[in-house]
Amino acid sequence: MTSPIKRRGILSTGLVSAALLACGLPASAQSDKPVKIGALLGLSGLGSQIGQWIVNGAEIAAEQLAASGGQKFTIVAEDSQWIPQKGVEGFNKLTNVDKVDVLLSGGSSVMQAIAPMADERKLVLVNVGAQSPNMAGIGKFTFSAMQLSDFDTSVLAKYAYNTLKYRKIATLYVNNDTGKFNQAALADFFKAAGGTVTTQEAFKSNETNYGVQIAKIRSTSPDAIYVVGTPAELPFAVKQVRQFAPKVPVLSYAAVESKDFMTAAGDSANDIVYTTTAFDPDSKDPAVMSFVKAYEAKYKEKPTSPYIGYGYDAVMIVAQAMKQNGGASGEPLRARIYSIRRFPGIMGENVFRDDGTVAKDIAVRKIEGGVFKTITVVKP
Amino acid sequence: MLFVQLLVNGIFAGSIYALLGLSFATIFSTTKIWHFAQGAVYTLGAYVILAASLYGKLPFALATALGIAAAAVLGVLSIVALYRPLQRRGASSLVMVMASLGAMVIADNLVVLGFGPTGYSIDVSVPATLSFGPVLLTGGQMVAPVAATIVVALYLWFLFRSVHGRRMRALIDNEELLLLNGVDTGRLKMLAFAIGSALLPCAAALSIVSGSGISPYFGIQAVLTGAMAMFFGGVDSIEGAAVAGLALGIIESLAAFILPTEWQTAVTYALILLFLMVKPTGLFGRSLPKTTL
Repeated sequence: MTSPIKRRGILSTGLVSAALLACGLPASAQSDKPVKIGALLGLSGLGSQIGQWIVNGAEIAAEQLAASGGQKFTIVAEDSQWIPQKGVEGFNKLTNVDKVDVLLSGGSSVMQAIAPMADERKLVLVNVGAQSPNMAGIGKFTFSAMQLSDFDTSVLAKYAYNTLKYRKIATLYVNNDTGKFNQAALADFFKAAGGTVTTQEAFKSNETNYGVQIAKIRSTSPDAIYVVGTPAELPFAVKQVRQFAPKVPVLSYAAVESKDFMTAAGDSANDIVYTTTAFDPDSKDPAVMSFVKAYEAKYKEKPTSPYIGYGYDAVMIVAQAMKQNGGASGEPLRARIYSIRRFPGIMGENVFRDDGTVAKDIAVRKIEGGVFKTITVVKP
Repeated sequence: MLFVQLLVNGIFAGSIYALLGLSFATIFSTTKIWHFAQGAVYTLGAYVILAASLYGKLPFALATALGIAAAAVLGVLSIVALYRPLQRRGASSLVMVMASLGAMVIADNLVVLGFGPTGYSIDVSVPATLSFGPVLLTGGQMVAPVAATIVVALYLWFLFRSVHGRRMRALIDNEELLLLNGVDTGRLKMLAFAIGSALLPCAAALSIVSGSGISPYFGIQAVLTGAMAMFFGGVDSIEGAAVAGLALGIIESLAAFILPTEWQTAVTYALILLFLMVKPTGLFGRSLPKTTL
């Protein structure tokens, strides 16, 4: 039992601390206290390059914002390995320990786990790395700064039918969320454009042998094959399609724009047609040029991946909305983003829709001699 | 003609499974040890071939030879450094299995640490693809069954004609009798591990030649396929595992002819299970295994 003197001591310490805390509360409105933006992404293991790109883009944005005076932002990175268990752990750490004001995250399965948690805490959550159409309306406080895969695939499907004049396609996909949704979306859009889907063949994660699936696809004589896989399978699937179905054109998705894929796939990557966000690092737009310059200065390489742009745009959008809000996060930030709706972006304009998804410019590209060549840009 | 194409694919896959089956059967039937770490030996052997080809710039055949040597060494290490010490301390079979699994997980993750989690592929020059009407036969698919047949033939010659080979087959039935005859069964078991493991990089090389990537996660698949082939062929018949492996490959490929491809593996294993319920000794086995897990 504590003595009366000790109890008084504890009580008064408690009161003093509470008073101090209360004085500290409106600090988020002060511009000298940096706003913490959490970045919960896969930073180790498979797909870590993408996570790193996003963080890099966010850091450049934070630096540019700091240089221009006004509210400072710090990026607090946490590794989710793109898996839900680690995502939830990371989320708890970032919100309970680091007390971030806004969170960037990605990976469709991670987002599905943390979006309800973000809603509970009224924390604005920006999707910078999940393409699954599930992300639409996944949470009241969730915004997607990257277009979802059904947006991309609708462009690809129409391009395949109208411009490339394919009438029959087959799909070869990994049997997980990414694969199933992407190929289902492409199949639906292609049929809506007037084409037919001859067959849809699945393979399991980490598969190394695709002979059976490709044999079945070849027996249906498609005009092209749409291949979707994670970095563990995509290069080998493409390689074997080239071997077992030599003259059939290959369509794929944005994941081919990575060093890992190009190294593992080698020559078989050539002539793949795919869609991705229209990020042009050679653009003469002053905003893009200063962004590229800053990126090259800090990371000693040219920014080529749209994921860098998603990270950058996400921070810029949050900063712009917060500026008009006097620095408030949570519900006021969410409302402000919806009221502004259209934000400039490093890859074209970002137009937010009611379900939190975004409409952006899409580039149709082809790999030629190891180079990602833009064929055309489709505006929303 | 899809049927013929799938049959061709099945023969190719089956020739690789035959080697995996022989490998697992050699080790399990002679020593009665559940060698899950075989997956680690497979992965490490494959990555030795990779490293020798990519970094050492060695010709593929030489790289494979290096892989075989490395695998044999690892196999002997497994029994000498992992299983025997445990056995001497009176460990139960379950403990040995756990140790085996643990070794495999460590090896897989070391490979990921060293080489990254994405697979690699090596380009090996093979004969050009032939086409017979709508049926394609790639260079890899031509080479694999031929190479596998040669390896299996050599191995079976060793098993049935050489003294050590015959002693290994005797080890399957009755270890005590061999000991009474003055045969060093300890050495014999080491030989079994060495030869069984040496077959694995052969299987890996055939996989690589056909354009399959090497992934750090393929090890467990190799073990399971090998084990399935062994049970299918009969636990006490090493040579039966080769035939069973080939049959496994063909059945798996043809299963995709009737059903959606995702069901391939499930259906194949279900069929084998059904077969084993009717004939538990497998295709060529004589008696049931006396070992428990």
